[in-house]
Amino acid sequence: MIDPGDRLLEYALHEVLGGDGADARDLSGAVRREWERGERRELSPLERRRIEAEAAAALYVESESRPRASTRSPSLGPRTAAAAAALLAAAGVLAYLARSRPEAPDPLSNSEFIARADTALWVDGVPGASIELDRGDLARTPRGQGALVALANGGRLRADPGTAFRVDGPSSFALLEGTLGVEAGPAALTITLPGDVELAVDADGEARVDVVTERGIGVIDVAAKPGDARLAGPSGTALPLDAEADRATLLLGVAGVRLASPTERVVPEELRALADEGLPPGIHLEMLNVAYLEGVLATLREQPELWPLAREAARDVLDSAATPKYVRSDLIGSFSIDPSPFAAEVLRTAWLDDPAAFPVDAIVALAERGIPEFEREVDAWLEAWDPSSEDDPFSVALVLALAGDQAAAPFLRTAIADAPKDEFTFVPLLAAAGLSRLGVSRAWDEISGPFVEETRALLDADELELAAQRVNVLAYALALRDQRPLAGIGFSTEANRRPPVAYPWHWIRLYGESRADEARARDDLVRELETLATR
Amino acid sequence: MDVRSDRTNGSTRAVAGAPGGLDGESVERLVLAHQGPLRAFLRYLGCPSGVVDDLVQETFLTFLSAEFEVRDERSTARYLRTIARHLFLKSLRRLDRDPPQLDLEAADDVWAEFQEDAGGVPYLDALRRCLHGVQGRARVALDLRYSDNLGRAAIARQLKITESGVHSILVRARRRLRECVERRLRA
Repeated sequence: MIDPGDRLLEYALHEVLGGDGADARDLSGAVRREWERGERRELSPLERRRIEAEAAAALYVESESRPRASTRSPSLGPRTAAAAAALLAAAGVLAYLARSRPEAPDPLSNSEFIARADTALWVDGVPGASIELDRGDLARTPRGQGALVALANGGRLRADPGTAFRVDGPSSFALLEGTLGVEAGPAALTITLPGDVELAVDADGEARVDVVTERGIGVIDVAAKPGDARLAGPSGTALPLDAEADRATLLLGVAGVRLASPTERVVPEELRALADEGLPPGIHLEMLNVAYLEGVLATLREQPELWPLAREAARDVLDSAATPKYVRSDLIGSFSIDPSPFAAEVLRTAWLDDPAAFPVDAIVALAERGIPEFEREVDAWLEAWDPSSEDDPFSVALVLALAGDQAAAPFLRTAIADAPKDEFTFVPLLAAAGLSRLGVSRAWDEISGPFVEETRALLDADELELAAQRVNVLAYALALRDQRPLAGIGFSTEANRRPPVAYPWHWIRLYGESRADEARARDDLVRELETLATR
Repeated sequence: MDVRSDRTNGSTRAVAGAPGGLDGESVERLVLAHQGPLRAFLRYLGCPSGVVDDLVQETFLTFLSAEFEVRDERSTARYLRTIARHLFLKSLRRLDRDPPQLDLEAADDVWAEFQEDAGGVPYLDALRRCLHGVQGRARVALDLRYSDNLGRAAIARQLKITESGVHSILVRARRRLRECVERRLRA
């Protein structure tokens, strides 16, 4: 936690050196107008209840850990098909009130620009503070941060993380990817969507728009204007939104485009160009796919400033329900052998969400690095371990071996003997490291030699990525073998002690850089392997 | 003066939620009196500059629609900060951002002490004086960070040192400044 005294000094330095408060606007007139509109006009009992509920939520709910859904608009509950139309109208009113406030102030009404966003936005490839958006600007939020966009006409948009959009006019935006929420604003906003649009209304009055893009299928959620005749269809009816079938007029609510599959991102050319332009040098949209993440890890060791982007990409994949289990496990496995604190951060978040997705060996690796959640998990195993019922005795045995428990030796020997011969696995090498910790060094000699030989062969065959992965694991196994007490050791300690080696494989593969780069990379890797082989 | 106080009987009482007790001018006076400190408080919490005004405005509107027994300026200010804090956290959640790594209650206490001491003027004056004592690379680093808003990497390039070097310089400079400011305030 940050010391509030330090934060106060930080604030004061901004004030004194940066003059942060110098251009403050007087809000008294705007608040007065707003208050008079909201308090003095005749409000229906329903509107009044809604305003009161919002105030209460803002004051008393936010610090609690209750689910966000509990502060949303009241659910209408199940209803019959016969009553769908009437209930739809009621739902529309509730949705409207849930998302609206008295008309938003007009903070930028005298401005020449169209909108203003806070810092979490790239505009035409340039990040900045309080960016002013103009017609034609292409903007995107980073994958880890959303942005609030204050419109000159008084409305306010919320761009969720990973959203890309184009400013077509004061009330007109083209949504390319992600989700735009309309949080406030009296004026209707037209959000142009890629491809053909159809509107479907469900029983709760929420409208869903299926978007058929040139390259895939997405989903848009629209909260519709109450009483809009176009929405008064029976539940489940699909209606074209308008004659052009590619525009949705969004009054208040959320519109979003979500790509069909996180593992096979379908990216329109326009967005690809936009994203590539917006991303810092060295990382491109296609590199954020699962297939590239391992390679990206290597670049990130060289350019750690790119980590926030990769971290969010990884979180996208891990968070998505559409990600297959094996992909999730592979990703976790890859990250678990990366020594950077950033990789650990991704995994700590993922652990909170879905611990079952973690392969046991990943948990062990992370515990070895001294990450508390995983240490606790492993401690719990050790306390409760029953070898006869343990599904994966190898990993537990490895932990026991690292703690010096001779009971682990038979299990590690079994793991080596049972390892599939026709399938590559790191288990024998790690088991040998564990046995070395128990004073049995023969297994290490028998296994590490061929392991190094196979890695050399991969290097000779220019299989640089596979070789790099094996070199990493060799380094990790050596760290396990050589460290003494379990507490306080960690792969990160070992890895950070050595200068990082950059393996720009994906650069070579994706962008056809020179053969000289590839040769240099291989030389680095060979040198690293031979150093490890002599330890 | 607190525009929401009714002192006719020598006491204060709640007028929020009773719009008849307020007029537009009173609302404007309330905003004029508290908007500056509220803005500063939100910046202190780490609120992005682009949303500070929106949150300040929402804070006042929430305040005006809430039942609040006004006793004095201090409690009004504290209540406004409570609203602003919650709205700030809410906006972070909406943007899928992590909350600040601050004990917000403790942070509010520190801020109250700062603000209630003549609006923080003595603290800022002490800081200005202490900054005169920071020279050389540390001063350049502070200017680049707080005046030019540069990140660590950009500062490192300008000073031709590593990023961790920049980090060390800034940490040391801030520690010295904090000690200096606190010493001056005690004196």
